[in-house]
Amino acid sequence: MEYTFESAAAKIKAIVSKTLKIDAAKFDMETPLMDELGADSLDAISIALDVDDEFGIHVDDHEIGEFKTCGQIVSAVLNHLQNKAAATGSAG
Amino acid sequence: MYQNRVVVTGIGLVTPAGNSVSEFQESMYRGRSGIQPIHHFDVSKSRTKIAATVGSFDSQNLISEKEKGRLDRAAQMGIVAAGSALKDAGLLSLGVVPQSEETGVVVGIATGSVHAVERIYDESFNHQRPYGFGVPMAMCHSTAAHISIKFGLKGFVFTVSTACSSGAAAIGLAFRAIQSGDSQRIVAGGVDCSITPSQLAIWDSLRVLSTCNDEPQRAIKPFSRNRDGLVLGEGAALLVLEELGSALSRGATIYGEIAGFGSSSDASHITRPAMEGEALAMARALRSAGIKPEQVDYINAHGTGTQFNDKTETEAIKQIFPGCRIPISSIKPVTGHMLGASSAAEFAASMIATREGLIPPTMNYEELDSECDLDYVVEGSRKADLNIVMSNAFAFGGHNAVLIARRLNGERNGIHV
Repeated sequence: MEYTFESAAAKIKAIVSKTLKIDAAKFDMETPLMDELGADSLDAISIALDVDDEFGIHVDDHEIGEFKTCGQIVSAVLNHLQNKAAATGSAG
Repeated sequence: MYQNRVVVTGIGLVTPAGNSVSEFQESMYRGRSGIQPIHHFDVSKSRTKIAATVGSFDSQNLISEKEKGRLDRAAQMGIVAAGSALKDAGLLSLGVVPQSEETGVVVGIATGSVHAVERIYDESFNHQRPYGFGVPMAMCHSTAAHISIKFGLKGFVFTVSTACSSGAAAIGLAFRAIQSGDSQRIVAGGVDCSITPSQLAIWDSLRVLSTCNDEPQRAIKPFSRNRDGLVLGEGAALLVLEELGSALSRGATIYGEIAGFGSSSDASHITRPAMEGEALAMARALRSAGIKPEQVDYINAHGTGTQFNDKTETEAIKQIFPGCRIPISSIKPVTGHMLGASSAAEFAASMIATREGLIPPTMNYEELDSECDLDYVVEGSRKADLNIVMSNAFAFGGHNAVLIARRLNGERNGIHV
């Protein structure tokens, strides 16, 4: 499946909403996850595991610490998907 | 050597027999059992299809929706029971526990965070992914840790695991810590939530569970010749233990005094109880309390309703109390066997009994057993002047823990005696 920023963002918001038990309407792509939504390191790990499952990628440990906003997660996910597509393309 | 006296100033309960002291008390005196058919998972392959469950319970605004996803059921029950105990002790009136730096937590737990462990295996084996909250949820001491975090308790904090005597052992350890002056106040007791598919299966395979599926409320029959085993229960029972002077100085309501504690190990068999070990724990408890056997007014028995336990416990009581005429009863037909929580709930019941002057009955007694021939209070609740009460807890592994409760009769020179 091809993701746009918007379609990936919708999935990420759903994951964050489920993990933090906060209505998705109450935050946007720029809301600080830790400072405003109360996320902690355990939430970040849980979100990363869900992102792995949802997009079929593997978020590296060092990336988890960079997940400050939903927008940053979406960018990381799109990067992974792009690299994956390129690797598949070159292999094929 | 002078030792501090230790009293109980608060009781918090989440049990199949009620989630408050008053509900629990009513259930144990009326013999209202919390045992019922299991509906929340498939029991078709199990011989036993009943358990003493708590169901959903009010978190009393102590646990947020987000926290619920990170806390094992045992930790959730533990937090609620600890909150109730602290409130009962008058220590949560301002929303924070006074002298929290000097307040500890000792939790007895037999099986650990079973629900979390099952979730970890489900995620790992059925979904091929790790469970992100697995480590902090499943660690054995997570209940004590979360109680400490939730209420800011920074004192003597430990987790005790001695199977079915865990709750009593936790209270005993906390008692010793206050008695010796190491701690001023400790929330202590037991927790266990083991009514899950895997736990039911392994207990079922041990052949210690009652198969009285058609009449769940009559399933556990302590000391009755036709007893056919125990029924798993779940719950949390935590008590606030406090140094007597501290309790008096803040005008706390006192349930009673913890007069003594005795522990022993059978050192014989991993599941079969030994009379000598049980008797040794009772003797040590009496010695610790500085009282003679004839001063004991009532024994709250371990009384699981298994063939081995009830026979061995009776023998051990006779060993310590020759010609025993002391009333003895078991409240497990009402609560089920809450494993690590049971002995703490039973000690709470012992405290309540001294206060009320009323012995709870042994329910479901049907047939005389020549090997269990003591006074098991089978006719219903019995009025009695209860000054000293012994509470027995025995466990797999042969770990025995016996507590002694003493009623406080009044005040002399500023000190209750």
